[in-house]
Amino acid sequence: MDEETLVEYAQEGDLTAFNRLVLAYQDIAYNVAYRIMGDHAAAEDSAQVAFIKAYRKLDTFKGGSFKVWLIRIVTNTCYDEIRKSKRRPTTPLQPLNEYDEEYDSPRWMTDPGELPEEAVVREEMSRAIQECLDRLKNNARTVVVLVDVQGMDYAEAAEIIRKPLGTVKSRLARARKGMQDCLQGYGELLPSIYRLEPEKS
Amino acid sequence: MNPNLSTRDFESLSAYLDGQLPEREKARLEARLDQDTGLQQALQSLERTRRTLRAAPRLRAPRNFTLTPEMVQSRSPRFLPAVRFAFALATLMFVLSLAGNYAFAPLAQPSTAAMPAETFDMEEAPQTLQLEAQEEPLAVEEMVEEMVEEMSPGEGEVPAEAEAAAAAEEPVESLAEDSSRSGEAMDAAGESAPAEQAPVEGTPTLKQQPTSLPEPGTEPVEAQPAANPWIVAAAVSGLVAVSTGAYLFFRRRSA
Repeated sequence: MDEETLVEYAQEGDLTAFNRLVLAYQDIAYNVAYRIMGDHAAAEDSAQVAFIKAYRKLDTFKGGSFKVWLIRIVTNTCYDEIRKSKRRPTTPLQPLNEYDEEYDSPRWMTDPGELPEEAVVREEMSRAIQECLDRLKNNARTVVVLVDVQGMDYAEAAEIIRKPLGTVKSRLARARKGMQDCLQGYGELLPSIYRLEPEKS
Repeated sequence: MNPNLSTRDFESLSAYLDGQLPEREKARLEARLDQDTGLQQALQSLERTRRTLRAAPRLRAPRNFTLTPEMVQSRSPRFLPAVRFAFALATLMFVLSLAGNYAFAPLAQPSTAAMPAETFDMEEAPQTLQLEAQEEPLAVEEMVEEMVEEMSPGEGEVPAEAEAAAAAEEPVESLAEDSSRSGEAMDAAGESAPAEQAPVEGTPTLKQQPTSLPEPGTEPVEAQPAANPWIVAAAVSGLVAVSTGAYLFFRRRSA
């Protein structure tokens, strides 16, 4: 059954059809939520809430890309959660390191077939990227997450944030500059091919 | 990165990297890249940044987010849309009432304030008469009581209190009668006490202004300003708006 048919069934109230769409998009929804929120538990909650909202708002989906429509709900849900958390700061349940930062190395992130050194490098890089993303403003972070981290094109990103292409371009450039400045501070922590120092000839 | 790179140059490099630069700008930028090593380095740095971001690990969802029928049940009470509508309507009415008050109140007040003196005299006259008339029955009653006491028991077929009550119930007619009776009584007694004549002199005034007499047993009515309908509407709509708004606010916070 193709996506369009599943959406039609879901719009008629078929929860099983909608759950098949959930399974197809839950990874990207969770990834986007995590990169915007910077916290696994918050991302999990936001993704779940976003799917519930999506099901309830299915009648507003008038065709086009279901993925874009869904990711828009995810990003908006993340913004709502960020606003709520600013109003009601909560104590993180995850353990903190010596710098009062949450550990960003849940076991499920690691690939069982990966060598320990590779896993460490991957983990360090993921953590460096997330820390730099967290320093960006929400609107710039969302665009860089959609385009660079998730590999979407400008048109999709523009549709998700409901802004013109020019806005996507400028926000992306601003976000990349911010990421570049931030990642340069990590230097040796990044694999050599990702290090940002200019190559010396 | 070249620190002298402008924001516009950085935007151009970023779009160029993604193949999103228009042909004209692309040609211009490539011409500059051929000559400017700083710009080339900036492009390389930007390309590495993008590569790093693209290499960010894709996480797998920690669990399935599939929905159950319980999860998709609407938690909103059925009357919630009505509350929202009431809130919106009451807020609108509140604003309109305030606007109406400010728009129309200044028109009404100066017209009253700028009323000519004769008008006030005309308005005050009945009030004065009312106040006088209100005092009159009491004086007449006292006079009647005194006269009844002076009258012989044979003539007093009607008890003094009953007569006074009758006088109070029908002030105009009975006052006229009383005054004539009192005149007869005074003639019969041959007395002409000035103190007793004073109330009698007031009776023609009462006859001339019969409609201004208050109903017996009623309290003196003072002239009270009528309630401003705009303010009343504003108060009612404001109360509704605040209560429904508070309900929606606390419901949203608890959600």
